[in-house]
This record gives sequence, structure tokens and C-alpha cells, in this order.
Amino acid sequence: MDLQAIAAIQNFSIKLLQFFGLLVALGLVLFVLYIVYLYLSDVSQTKQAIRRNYPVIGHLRYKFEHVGEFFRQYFFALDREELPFNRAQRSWVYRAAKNLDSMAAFGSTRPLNQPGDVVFLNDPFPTLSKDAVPPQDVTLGEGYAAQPYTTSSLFNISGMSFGALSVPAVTALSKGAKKAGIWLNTGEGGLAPYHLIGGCDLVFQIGTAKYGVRDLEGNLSEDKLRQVADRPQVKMFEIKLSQGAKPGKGGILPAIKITEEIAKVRGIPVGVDSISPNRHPEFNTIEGLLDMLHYIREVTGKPTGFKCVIGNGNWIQQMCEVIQTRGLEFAPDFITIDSADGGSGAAPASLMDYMGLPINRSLPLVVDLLILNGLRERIKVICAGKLLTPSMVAWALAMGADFVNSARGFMFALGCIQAMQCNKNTCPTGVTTHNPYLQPGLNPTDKAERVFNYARNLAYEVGTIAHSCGVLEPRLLCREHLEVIDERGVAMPIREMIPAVDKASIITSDRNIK
Amino acid sequence: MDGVTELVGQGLYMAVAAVAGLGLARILRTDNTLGCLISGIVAGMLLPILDYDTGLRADNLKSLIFFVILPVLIFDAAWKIEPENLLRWLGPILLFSTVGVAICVLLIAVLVYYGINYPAGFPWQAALLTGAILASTDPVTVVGQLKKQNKENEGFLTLIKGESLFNDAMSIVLFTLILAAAGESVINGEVNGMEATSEGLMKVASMALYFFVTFFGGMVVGLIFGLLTAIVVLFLRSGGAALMVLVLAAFGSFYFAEHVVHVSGIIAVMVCAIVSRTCLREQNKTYLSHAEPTWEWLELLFTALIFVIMGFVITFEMFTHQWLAMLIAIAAALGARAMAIFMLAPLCRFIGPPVPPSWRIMLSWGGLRGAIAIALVLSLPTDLPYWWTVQSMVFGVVLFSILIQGTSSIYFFKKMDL
Repeated sequence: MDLQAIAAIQNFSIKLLQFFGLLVALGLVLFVLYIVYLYLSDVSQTKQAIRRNYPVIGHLRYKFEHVGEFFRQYFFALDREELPFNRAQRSWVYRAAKNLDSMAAFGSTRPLNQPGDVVFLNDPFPTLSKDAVPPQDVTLGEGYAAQPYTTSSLFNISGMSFGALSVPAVTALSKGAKKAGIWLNTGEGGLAPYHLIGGCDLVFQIGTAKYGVRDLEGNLSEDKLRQVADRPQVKMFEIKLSQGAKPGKGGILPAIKITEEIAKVRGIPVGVDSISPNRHPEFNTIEGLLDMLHYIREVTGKPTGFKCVIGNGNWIQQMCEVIQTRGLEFAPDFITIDSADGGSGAAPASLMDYMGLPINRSLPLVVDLLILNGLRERIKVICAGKLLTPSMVAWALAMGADFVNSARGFMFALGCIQAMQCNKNTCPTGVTTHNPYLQPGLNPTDKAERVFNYARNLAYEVGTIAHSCGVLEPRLLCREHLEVIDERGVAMPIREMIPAVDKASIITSDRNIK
Repeated sequence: MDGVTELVGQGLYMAVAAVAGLGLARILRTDNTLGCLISGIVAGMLLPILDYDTGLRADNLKSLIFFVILPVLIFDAAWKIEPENLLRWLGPILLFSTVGVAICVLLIAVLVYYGINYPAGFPWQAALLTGAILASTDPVTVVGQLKKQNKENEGFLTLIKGESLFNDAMSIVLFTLILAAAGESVINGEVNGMEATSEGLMKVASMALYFFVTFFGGMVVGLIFGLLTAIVVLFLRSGGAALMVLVLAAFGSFYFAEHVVHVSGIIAVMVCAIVSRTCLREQNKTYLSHAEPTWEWLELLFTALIFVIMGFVITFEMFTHQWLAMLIAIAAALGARAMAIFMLAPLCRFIGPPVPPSWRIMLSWGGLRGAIAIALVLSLPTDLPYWWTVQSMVFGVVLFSILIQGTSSIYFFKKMDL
């Protein structure tokens, strides 16, 4: 090699070295300036005490606090530690939805001594697979609605409005529900084309703002109600009195989530928070509710019920008494009991955390009141609220529910990772966002399959529990199959907590005399 | 009379003309810019009658514009954009101000070059200079009108303000670059720089390196100055001092970058403004509560001055001699802007928020040419043989902008739904 080339290379490397040296020096200067700036800005601001008293280094607290949220979930939180749903529950749903093996080994990670936990009582002679029967059919509104609805599905999709959920999410639910043979509740956001796309059975929910069936003033429009009822896919109507997230407050759809399409489906303006009234303005008495139910059933010809969170149980008793006097045709065809711990909806934390009874109290309460008043056959009971694993569904069936609904279980099946941003339009998985950049994360065809898998595997495992208890099918589970762990960590028969009730003879005889 | 008194008198003469222009605009109910232009023309005509000299010469105009007027205009434009919004829209803004400006410059240059078709008197350098000058945009009119109609769509305002700020910075950098090359070729005699000789390639490479160094050097200077500004403001802890430091930062960062380090002053000013604004965002209600009005009057004054100077310089002969060139330039400027916007707007969704079709129309028709374009063309050295043609063309485009685009965009916006 000639000297000239070597000299050129040498020259070049020195230049490069100088350049890098310059870069490092520059970086250092900028870093020092930045630290000085940070110090001064921390000292002179008045909003954050930590930054003022511990300038520069105080920033670490905010950084760690932010990062910790994510690290806790992945590194530190135990399997059964997180809320609302812990990793064990979510994993079950994810695995079921992906149709993966749901077996576990080396024993249960569930502590089995926590007060309030449920255990099922197995039978010495469980049901043989060949003897097992599919869940029996249940008919809603038989003899009272022009078109009663018969279904055998145990586990259905609870109300989540189009608007709360994205287009691909609703599409996937609709298709998955069709394949699994379960119903999809539309939620209070009206009937969107995406609900109909899969061809599944639909329950149309009428919220306090009557989205989808409202006239220009926001009142219930009989024409629109008829139009909805004319669709053969719509099987039932549900008046929403309250929802688990916010008993006593109407639905809230933040303006950021209202696209033109959603506004059209709901019949509302774009760009304004869509806030439903906190109760139906049309009625404020039990009679009013029953009249409304009767009116909708007459107009639509389909079974009609209501959904609510149970607070004070007295009104259920009063309602039963009113039904006794007015006649069974005024009774709701079903009651959907929502647990009080909230769902995907945006709600004030205090209502979510403290308002209303949780499902483990309200379900037996309502069921027992219905039995007491002899209305158990007339009024079917649907329940919802964090019931997304087979054991919880089996528990609800044993406690007396006819159907179990879940919203968040199906959201997990759609890919939800519990980022808890449903109301911010920033859902990272595309389930509850209308941001076109986030939605492609959710492929409707793919996720429809998962919805189907989840529903099927769950029903299958509920069946497994039923067979272990020695009954032929899940709806034959009853409270005798359950024990609850008391405060000393010992399982007790559930009958000791909730005594058995029977039809109150006095009321029966009253009616017989009539 | 000593020099200082004379200078004060000359400054006051122009300032009075500017105030008169604002008054004129109020009476005629037109844009401030138009009023100042008219009052500038009148003041220019009065000069021989009064036998007064403004002291403005072709050789000092460039320094005045670059070291005094541009820093304020750019700093103000950068200061007015919320850092958070800027970050959100940074993708589209950068796309428009890099690729968009490049398309605009080249397209205008090609159209103007072949439109005039007189290579001897109007070479490629002249065409490219025209392109660079006309690539800058001025959002003031549009923003003002949107505010008047209460259609303050945060996203659109940020986009148009940020885009025109970055456009301006880019076009000023390109302008100085092309001007340097053009000046060189004038000195070296008529050498066609586009020739694909090895020498030409070397030249292009060294130009690219020069551009790179100027650009990033400017950014670094701006970064350091921005941090320093924030530090000093926070250290001084007083409202008056903060404003003083900010104004000083505007002039200082430009002077330091351009005169001491020899990198792009405009980029330095812009980065300095953005950085200091970001760093001082917690002090908006304390030391910086008066920053906004301060920048408002500074911007008003200097924009008015620019248009007054334009009034001084503009002559009737421009329209009689150069009307065809003006028309060509107007068509080229409009077409290139629309082309750049409509080509790039659909791509925005890949790098940031999408730009809806109605915004595209407003961006292209509302892309007026204003103060920066005039400032640049006024700073053209007169030893370039084609300066008069370029100046006439740019004046023509600016006049068209103010008279036609500015007034018609009101009706446009009323119909548009943001």
C-alpha cells in the first residue's frame, strides 16, 4: 500500500475522532444544561411538592410510579392478586378462547381458605359422559309474548353498546355468537349493522336515553321500536334501569368516542359527550315500570324484561305483590341482575366501588323472592357481573340463575388485556377504541373464532362441573351442591347462610280464592 | 446630525408609516398588510417631496432583514405553537416542510424557468431562488380569519402554523444556500452548475455537506440557546426580565449562529423558541404571562415594517414590464403548493394524524405568501442580474395572495366545516 493512501486513512480517522469527540462534548454540555434547567424549573414551580423539595432527583418518583404500573403486572403481581380480574382468571379465558389446553398441574394456586369462596360438592358417582345431556331449553315469555324465545344457551354476551365497543369488536361478537348459538345483547347504544352482520340472536336493550328507538325529542318512538322488533334476529327487549358500573347514573359515552356512524345509530350529535338520563323519565313507580314492560311487549310481540342492579330488595317484593294483583301478563319475562362492581363503562369510582349489591348477595335475594311469591316459573333470571370462568358460571346456575351473561369475559376473548382505558379511546387492543390506527389490532374473523371457542369451552367446563356434582346437565345444579367458606376458613353448607324458601302459602291461597 | 439621531429619525419615519398603514387598514376594513403596503407606497412617494432619505440601501437591507426582522418573526411563530400540539402534528408538519418544500421549490423553478424561457437573462439559479422564496407561507391571515369566525380547530391551527413555520425555516435555509451558489457562479463567470462533470458532482457533494452542517449546526445552537434561555429566565424569576431574555434570545441565537458559528441562524432561532417554550411551559401563568402580547406587538410591528418597505420598493414599472412574469409566477406558486399538499396529504396518516380533504383545500388555497417571502426577496443582492425580475414576480405573488387569496378564503372557510 502506498503511503498516500495510509496518510489519507489516517487523516480520515483523525477527522472522525474529532467529530465523535465533538459529539460527546456537545452531549455533555447539553446534559449539564438540561440538569441545570431541571433544577431551576423544579425549584420555581409550585404544583408538585416533591419536585420543589427534591429538585431533579424527585423526578425519579414520578417516572417509577408510571413505570411501576406496568412492571407490577408482569413481574411482581401474583397470579391471583390483580383486580378486577387476576391473571389466573384472564389466562383461563385467553386459553379457552384460543382453544388451548386448560389443564393445570401440581395443585391449585387458589388458597381455598378465604371467607366467601365457593366450593362445589362432588358426587361419589359422577355422571358418565354417555349419560350426560345437553343443557335443557328454556323458554322466555311463553304464553305471554306473541313470539316467545327458546334457547338452551347458558352463557351469553352481556350488553355492551356499539360506541363503547368498536366496529370490529361488535362484528366479531356477532359472528362468534352466531357460531356458538348464544345471544348478543346490544347494550343501550342502538342496533348497528354490525350487530346483525353475524346473524346471531339479539337482545335489544333500551337505555334511559332510548338510543336507536328515540324520536327527535328523545322519547321512545313506537315506529322505531316496531322497526327494530320486525327484525327476526331481535329476540327480546330489555329495559335498562341501571348498570353495574354506575347504579343511579346514566350511560356516558365520552365525546372522543362518538364518530359520525355511532351518532347516526344512536340518533345524537357528534362531538358532545353523550350522557343518558339517570333514570327513565317516563316512570318512577313499580306500576309505571310494569306498564312500560307490558307496552313494549304488546308493541314488539317479544319477551321483555328489565336489567338492574339490586339495592334495597324491598321493591322486588313490592313488585311481586303488584304482579300478583294485576296479573301475570304484567310481569317481566325476565330480570337481568347486574352485579355492582362495574363493567367496561365509564363511571365515577365511588359508584363503581360502593353502590349496589354484589351478585353473590343480589342473585339469591331475587331468586328467593321470586320463589316466595310463586313467580319463579314466570320470570326468568339472568345474571351478570364478573362471572367469566366456568366455576363462577356454575355457581350462578346453582344459585338459581337461568342464564349467565358476561361482557368482560367476551372482551378478554376479543383480546382485551385489562389496560382499563375503555373510556379514553386509547384501547391498545382495538376493542373499545374508534381510533383507526388501533382498530386493525382486532381482526373480526379471527376473534369471532375466539368468541366461539370461549363460549363453547366455558359451557363444556360448566358441564364438567355439573357432571362431577352428579347431575346430568348444568341447569340441574342447585344450592345443595355448594358450600361457602366461612370466616374461620371452614366450608359450610350454603343453606346455613341462606335458608331455603318456599312459596308463601298465604299469597297462593289469596290468589286461589280469587 | 450625528448617526444615531439620523437612525432614530429614519426608524421613526418607517414606524409612523406602519402605524398609518394600520389606521388605513382599519378605515378601509382590509387586512393590516394591505394597509401597510399602501401607506408604504405613499410614504415612498413622499420621500422626494420631503427630500428625506430613509437610509435603506440594497446593501444594508439584507442585514436589517436577516438580523433584525426575521429572528423576531420566526421566534414569534415558533413561540405561538403549543409544544404538545406540535409534537402531535410533527409528522405531517415535517413531511410538508421537507418533501413538500422540495416539491414546491423544484416545481416552481421548473414552471418559472420554462414559463419565462429566457436562459440568458433568467438562469436556473434565478428560477430556484424564486422557488425557494415562494415556498415560504404565511398563516397570519388564515389564522386571524378562523379566530374571527370562532372556528378554532386546534388541530388545523397547529398544522397550518407549524407547517408554515417549518416551511419558512426550510425556505430561508434553501434561499441562503442557493444564493451562495448563485453569487459564486456570478463571480466565476457563467458556469453551468448543473453540468454532470466530476467537478459538478464534487460541488453537489460539498453543497450537501454544507447544507447538513448548516442545518444541524443551527439545531445544536438553538438547543443550547433554548436551554440557556430557560435557565436564565428561571434564575431571574421576574416577568420583566423574562421578556427581556426572550427577546434577547431571539436576536442573540440568530446572531450567534449566523455570525459567530456560521450555521443557519433561522434554524437556531426556531429551535431556540421551541425548546425554551417547552422548558418554560410551567411558567406560562407566572413569569411569562405577558409573553404573548409582547410577541404580538413585535410581530405586528415587524410585519408592518416589511410591508412598508415593500411599498417603498414597489414601482409601477414592475407591473408594466413584468406582468407576464408575475402571472407565470402566480400560476406556478399556486399550482406547486396545491400539488405538494395534495400529493403528500394522503401520506400523513402513516406518520401522524390524518389530514382530511377539506383541510387540504384550505392548506393549499390558504397558503398565502407574506412577510417572509418579501423579506427574502428584499434581501436579494442587486449585483445579481435577474434580481429585479425575481422581485417583481414575488411581489406579484404576494399581492395576489393578499388581494385575492386572502379575501376569498373568508368565503371558503365559512363554507368549510372544520
